[in-house]
Formats: sequence, C-alpha cells, structure tokens
Amino acid sequence: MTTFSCYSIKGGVGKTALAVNLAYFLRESGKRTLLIDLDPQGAVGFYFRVAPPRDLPLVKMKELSGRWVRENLRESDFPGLDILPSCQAHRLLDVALAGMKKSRKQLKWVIEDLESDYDAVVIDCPPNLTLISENIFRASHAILVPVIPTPLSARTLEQLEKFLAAEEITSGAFQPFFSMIQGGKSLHRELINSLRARFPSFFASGIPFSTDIEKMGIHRKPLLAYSNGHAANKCRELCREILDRNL
Amino acid sequence: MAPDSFDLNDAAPSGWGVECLDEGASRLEFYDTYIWTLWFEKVVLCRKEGHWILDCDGDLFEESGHPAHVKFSSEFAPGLLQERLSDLIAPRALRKTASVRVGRQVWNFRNPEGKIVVRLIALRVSANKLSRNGALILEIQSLRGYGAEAVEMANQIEALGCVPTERRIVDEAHKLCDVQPMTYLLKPVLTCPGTGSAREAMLEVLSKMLGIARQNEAGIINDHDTEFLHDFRVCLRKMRSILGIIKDVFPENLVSNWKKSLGDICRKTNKLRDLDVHLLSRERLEQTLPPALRAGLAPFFEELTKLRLIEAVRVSAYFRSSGYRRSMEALETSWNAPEAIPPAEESLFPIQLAAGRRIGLRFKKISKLSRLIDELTPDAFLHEVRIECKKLRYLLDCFGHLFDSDGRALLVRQLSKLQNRLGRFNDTSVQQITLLDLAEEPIQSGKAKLTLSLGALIGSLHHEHGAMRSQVISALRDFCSPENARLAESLSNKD
Repeated sequence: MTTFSCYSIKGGVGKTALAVNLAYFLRESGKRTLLIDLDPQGAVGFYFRVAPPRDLPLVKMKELSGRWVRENLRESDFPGLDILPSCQAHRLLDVALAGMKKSRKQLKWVIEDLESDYDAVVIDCPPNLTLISENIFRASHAILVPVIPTPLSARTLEQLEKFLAAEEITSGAFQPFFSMIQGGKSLHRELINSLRARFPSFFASGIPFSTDIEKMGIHRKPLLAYSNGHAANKCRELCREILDRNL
Repeated sequence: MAPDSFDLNDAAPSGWGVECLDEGASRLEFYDTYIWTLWFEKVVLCRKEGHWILDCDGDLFEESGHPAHVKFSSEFAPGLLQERLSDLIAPRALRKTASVRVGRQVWNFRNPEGKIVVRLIALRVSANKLSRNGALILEIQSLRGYGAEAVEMANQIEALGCVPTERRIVDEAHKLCDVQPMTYLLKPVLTCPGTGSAREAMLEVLSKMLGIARQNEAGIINDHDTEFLHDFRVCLRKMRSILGIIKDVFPENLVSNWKKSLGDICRKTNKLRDLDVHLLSRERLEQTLPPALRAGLAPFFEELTKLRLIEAVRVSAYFRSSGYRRSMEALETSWNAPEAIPPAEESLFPIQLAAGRRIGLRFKKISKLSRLIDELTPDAFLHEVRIECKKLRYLLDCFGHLFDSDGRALLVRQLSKLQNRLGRFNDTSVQQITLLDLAEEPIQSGKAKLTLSLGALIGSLHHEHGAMRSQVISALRDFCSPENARLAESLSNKD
C-alpha cells in the first residue's frame, strides 16, 4: 500500500484538486484506493456528495481510533474508490494528538491497519504546519506539494524542505508540482524555470489554471470523471508521472 | 427474483433518484460434466462472447484464447483456468448443459444529496431475444458505509413482490433449458441397519450397486469419457467381491451364476480399460523420460489411440447387444424381487456381525501375509496382498456405515494410502510387461526412435518399481500396526 499526501502550508493552492483527481486516477488504474480528508473544510465530502461522519470523539481518545475510521468509510460513486470524509472535530485533532503517546505516529498506525483493504491511500491535508502535518509526513511515501509559481513560493518550499530534513523525513518523499499555472504570464514561466533549477524533484507535468477545474464544485465529481479538456489532460499527465515515480 | 410486472422505477424510496445504465445482452453457454461435477461443487463454467469463465464460488477465472469447442479440460490452453478445471474434473468430459441470453442493467439509486447509495444489478435470463419466458434476478450491491440504505432498498423491492433467492444465473439457465442436475455417487447410500439380516443387506448393496453400474451405460455406449467404464467396472468388481466374501447368504449355485455373469461382463471390457489406463498415464510416462526421448513415444500412443477407438466401438456394440441386456436384466430381476431366492445357512445372520467378522479376518490375513514380505518377496506375492486389501476395502465401502464412523474412517484412510502404493507398484510391473510386448513390432520393423524411447520408458518403470517396493513394505507395516489391529478386532466383536 502506498500513501500519497497532498500537502501545502498555504491554502487555496490546489491540494484538494489533486487529491480528488489522483484518487480517481489511481482507482482507474485498478488500485483499490482510499481518499482521506483531514481538512475540516470538508471539500472532498462535498465533491463526492458524501455527508460528514458523526464526530470523532477526540476528548476520550488515548489513541486515534481505527474502529472509528472503519465505521466511517464511505464507498464513492466510483467502484474501487472509498472516502473517509472529514468532520468538524478534525479542527481539534491537533489538541487531541498532543495528549496521545507517540503523538507523531498515530495516523501512520491507523493507515497501516487498512493495508489489506487498499492498494493506495491519498490524504487531502489541512493547510498548516502542526502536529497533524508531522503525522502526515510520517505516514506518507510521497508528499505532493502544489506550488503556484509566485515569488513567495520559493521561500515557502525552502522552509518546508528544511523542516522535513529536520524531521528526518526521506528526502525522496518531498515531491513538488506546479499548480494553477498561467502559461501566458511571463512571471510564471520565469519562476517555473528558476524553481525547477533550485528543486530538481519538481514533476515535469503541472496543473494549469482552468475554469474546468473550478467546475468540479458544480459537477460535484473529479475533473477526470467529466472532462477530456486541456486541464484534465494535464492533470492526467501529472497523475501518471506521480504513479510512475512512486509505484 | 422479481415478478413479471416488476418495474425498478417504482423501487426508489421517496426522494431518491434513479438512473439505469443498459449494458446490453450476451449469450451464455454453461458447461458441466455428465455427472454434474461442477454444479455439485458450486462451480460454474461458462462461455461468453469468446471468453471462458470459471467461477469457483467467487474465485473468478476469465480467459480468452481457448478453443470454442472443448471436450476435456486438457484441451484448454495452458493457464490458471485450465489448471483449476483439471483439478476439478479431469479426466471427465464436458458437455454444454444450457445456453441462454442474459441482459444486464445497472441501476443506481441516489439519495437526496445525489450520492449513489445503492447499486442494483438487474439480470434478465431468457432463452432468446423474443422469448417472454425467463427470470429477472436482482442483485443489490451494498456500497460501503451505506448498509442501512441497502436494507431499505431490499425491503422496498420485497414489498413490491420480489422474493429473496439463492438461485444463480446457471440455475435459471438449467430451468429454462429444462435440465435438472442429478446426483451421482459411486458409493451407494445404504439404509439396512446393523441388526438387519445379511440377506436383506446384501440385496440392498447388490441392487443399488447394479443401479449405479447401469447409470454408466449411456456414457460407455457413447464413449463420453473413460470414467464411465471405470465406475461401471468398480461396481461389478465390488458386487463379485462381496458375493465371494460374505458366504452362505444365498444358495451357492445362484452365487456362482451371478459371479460368472458379472465376471463375463467385466472381461468384455478388460482390453478397453487397459488401453484407457495406458493413455491416461501418457503425460506422466512421458515426463519420466529425458526430454529428447519424449517425442519418440508419440507413434506408440497414436497406435494405442487407434486401438482404443476400435475397442470402444466393440464395447459400445456389446453394451447395446441383447446378450448384455439380458444378463443385466436377469441380475436386476433376481435382486430387486428376491422372493424366488431360497434361503441359505446364514441368510438371517445379522449383517453387522457377518461383515464385522469378515473385516476382522481379512485384516488378520493381510497382517499375516505382510509379515512374510521382505525386499526379495516375488511381485506375485505382493499382488496377492493387493487383492486382499481390495477385498477389505470393498467390505468397508459396502458395510462400513454399520460401524463407528471415526474408527472406520481412520482405517479406510490408511488402507487407501496402502492401496495407492500397492496399485502403483503393480502398475509399474504390468506396464513393463505390456511395453515389452508392444516393443516387439517396432524392433522388428526397425523404428529406432520409438524403440529407444520404449526402452528408456521400460528402464524408468523398472527403476520406479524397485523404489516403490520399500514404500509398499513401510505402508504395509503402518497399516498392520497394533492400533489398527485393535480397531479391526473391535469391528469384528460388534454385537
């Protein structure tokens, strides 16, 4: 079983767009896939029309409950792809984790417990750098980081790279890709080139800025499930590259 | 199962949405052996649009690239399907049992949020496109996390007249094609109690065994596969054997006539069975040779195949003859309406005592013979032990149900292991002799490749025969252990 997390310290950069479509792509490739939403905004549940589960009883927990996870798995409309939607209680996850023993490995253990059910797990992460993030890093084989080509991105990436190194996370796990690319902007083109030179682990493919992607909220399904347009093709290319590198 | 008037659009609970995806229809041809081996194992073999599908209780093998028409599992292309099927049925032949058209629709039921919460597969099984007869099978696929909705849907469609069923497409196909799987057991199910008379029990065994033998006649006449003759001969041998072992139950002259009749019939089939045994062991025999010599045996087996064809036609004609029919009917009449059979000395002796005593005696005889066996004992002596073991096995097969099942099962298991070794020991001896006889012609006509391969094969069998001897001796010692002796003794002391 391989675990992918779509992670960024920043919000609104395309984490959920990739998580949803990567999970769909994995399932299309014949992998039994679970998409875990750890972001209390619950966008994954919205896209797949899955209602939030009953609240995770975090206050009473001495460790993350594998039983709660199993009870709240939901099969999506696409056979082979299950969802673990987020709930409001996820916003308290950090506090709860802090009170648990081995607080950085709780998520890893819960995911490992699902090994016989799934070939791949995709995590849609909340935008922060907290104890949850540390759990995510330890549970993931690949940390997929969406980067909008802006001047601030290089700084953010450098911070993340240093943090992962300090946490002794395997350097190969850190895998950035460009998101919301606007090819017409010369600034984007220049930044893409300079960032690639600075971070060789960038994927060759990236996701363009596209209203087709924004329409996921209208269709309430992954882009790959309804579109064969330019953005969908680029997204598919990136997913293929992610699989080739990691599976 | 849904009633004729059923409409799935009515099945959605209030507020739910429905959508139907019509996946079209395909023709399914179902296959099984003549004795329904697959059906009774809950295995389904079918052909669909050029693919062969083997469904072993959910374990699915779907493969293309196999021939369209196959009779034996060995004719499928090598692969998982062929391997699994061979384990299940070889060397039995296949036949088409039913052919139906199956239309498939997927119905998605969405909750008010628009999420699919229940998926329902609708399968319409019919003889052909225009046929109005047939069945609609609905399969509710519960989505993970939506169990409650699946239960709600099940209740809804039951309320609309659907009936829960375990029936599969194959069952509906058989019903539509008016075929009924029939149980076939080589061992008869006997009802005579241990306190019943030996006459009553023997007549039950004989008449039921004769019935089983006769079930195989059509298969022998049509030469469907080799196992019909095998089973037929096993029945006849068992009948002859127990008539000889459990003595004085019927007048001696009658027993002698019956045994002669059974022996005569069996003899007519000896040659065909011998040829079958050689041809069935072809692959195993070829494997014992170095690869370079294997192809050399091809003309030998081709010749045997030709001889077998001629012999099968001869045996088929014999089974259709009035002479054969008269012999079988005479036996049937005697055993099914036994009023004409006068009583004999032990007719009324309780069968449990009579059979138990013979089992004990037979065990003692085998033990006594086995003590005389060493590395130098002639093959003929070991053959004699093999015959005694067969007699004990027939006694246990026919009357074992009268005794404690655990002890009997243990004895049968160990006896079966011993018989396998004795059988292989005997086969390797007989095959050497047969091959030497058959090698005469190729030697005379200078067929060097065949002569070389036959020589190597005889050498290999000779080597295996030698190695088998110590295995036979050790299996005999195991079987004649003090524990088994006590077990056999306990059967003979039943009262």
